[in-house]
Amino acid sequence: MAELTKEQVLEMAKMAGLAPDDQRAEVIAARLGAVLQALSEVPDESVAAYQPALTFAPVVSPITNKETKSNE
Amino acid sequence: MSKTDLHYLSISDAAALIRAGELSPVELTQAYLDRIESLNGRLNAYITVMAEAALSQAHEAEQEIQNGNYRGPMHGIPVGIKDIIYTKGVLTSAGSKVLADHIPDENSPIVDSLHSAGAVILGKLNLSEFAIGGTIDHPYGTPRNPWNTDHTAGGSSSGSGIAAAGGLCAGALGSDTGGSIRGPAFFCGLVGLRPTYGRVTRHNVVPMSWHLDTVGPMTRTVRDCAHMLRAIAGQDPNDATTSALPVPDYAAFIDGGVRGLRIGLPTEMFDDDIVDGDVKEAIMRAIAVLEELGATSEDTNLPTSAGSGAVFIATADVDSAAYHSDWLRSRGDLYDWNTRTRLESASLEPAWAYIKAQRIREKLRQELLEALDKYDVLVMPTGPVAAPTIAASTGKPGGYYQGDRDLVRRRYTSPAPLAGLPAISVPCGFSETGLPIGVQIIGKAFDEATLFRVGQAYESATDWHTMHPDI
Repeated sequence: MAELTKEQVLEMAKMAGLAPDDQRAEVIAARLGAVLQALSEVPDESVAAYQPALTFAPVVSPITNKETKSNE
Repeated sequence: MSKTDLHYLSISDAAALIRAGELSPVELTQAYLDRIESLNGRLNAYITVMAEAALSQAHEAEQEIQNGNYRGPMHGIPVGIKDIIYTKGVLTSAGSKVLADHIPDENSPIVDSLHSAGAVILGKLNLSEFAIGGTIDHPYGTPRNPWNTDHTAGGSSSGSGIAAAGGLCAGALGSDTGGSIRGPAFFCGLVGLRPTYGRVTRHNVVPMSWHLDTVGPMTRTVRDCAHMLRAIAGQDPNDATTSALPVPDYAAFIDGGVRGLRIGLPTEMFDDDIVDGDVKEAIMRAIAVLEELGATSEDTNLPTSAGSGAVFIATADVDSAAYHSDWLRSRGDLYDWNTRTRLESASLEPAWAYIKAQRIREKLRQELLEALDKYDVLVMPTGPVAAPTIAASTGKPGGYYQGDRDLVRRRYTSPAPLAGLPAISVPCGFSETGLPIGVQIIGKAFDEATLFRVGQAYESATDWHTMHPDI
């Protein structure tokens, strides 16, 4: 993934109605860039089978008292 | 018992004395108020001290107990609560200038539960701004670690950690989105429990992330933690994520020991390139103690956990950015520099990243559930290093949150929240610099009882919980 630049951050921020100064834009570029880089390093095919969970709370069966897995 | 000993009494010991009529809730509350008066200026644990209301509650508790209406182990016990939990008629600032005038007109149900249990609320505790972590300039004073005031108490439940560890309350409530209870518990030498998502209501609690937030106790002993959780846990019609599962009497199961317990040790959490030597040594000694007590352990793997820090940021911070969307654009100058930068960063996160984070999150959750099919608990460090200095953690733009280092550190506390699982940090030693170290135990959903049982077995075999900062 190409490195995120301060200029790109300033442009996106403007469209989002935000106005970070140069110093904040630089930190945002580094911070957001690190997160995006880390996510993009995970191969898409390795997570394609995992749908985002429909519920965030653990679901416990009242019968078995065991947690069920969302893909079951 | 001398007055100077009162502030480090455990909740359990104080409760026994109160029940027997040998300790007055008023005397105990006054002892904590005196200590707050003497130390809060140095430590910045409390934002608001509710002295008058606390003494009134203590008198009421005393009267009830004298009349034979003892409610249980929290009756007459003075506690502090993080300042994101709504208190009717009392400032709930969330540690921010943005909410400097926020006086709720109703309580959080958690506060009502504490009142029902007979607890005395001493006041509202300092925190990282909006529980987001990494605050550089705390508007209500820089929280200082009672073990060494040049060091951070961790975040975001900083004041909760300081107050409980420094004897400025008998126990405290914090909140944990991605480590905000367990981190300060580690740094301050406390027991800190992140409950299962859905075990404790989040209604009338200022949110950081709707998908990850939990409220839980921070105490000086494991048994105290069990007492506090029982007081606040349960279903709440105002919070659809809360579970209808009954709340056990955790303390009734706490002395069951660990014989036959199966412990998994995720190898990703013991990487010598990441974990300080003294932290790793303390954790390995803690595991050895549990084995001596009859548990067995073996290595296991959570391959996806290595990237969990980025998944956490990509998930939680987007929730925060949505919650703060209006204020960020209309009152941005009221935020701490780092909070504002972090929220603005999350505001720009592309949709593909958010959805991919949710896919990775689900993969990680499956890995954890499979590991917990095989083991009763997973054990690992709560974090890779003991508390850094305040200067090191806040002295530069971005503070704690400098790219890769932050993402690496977060891999220790992110997996449990991302999977909705409970996790506890228990004191297990000190660093070479004399700062506390904590061991983290992750358990199955709604199985806090096992976490308490393991923590209690370890605590009973060691004396870390008897050590207090010299302040």
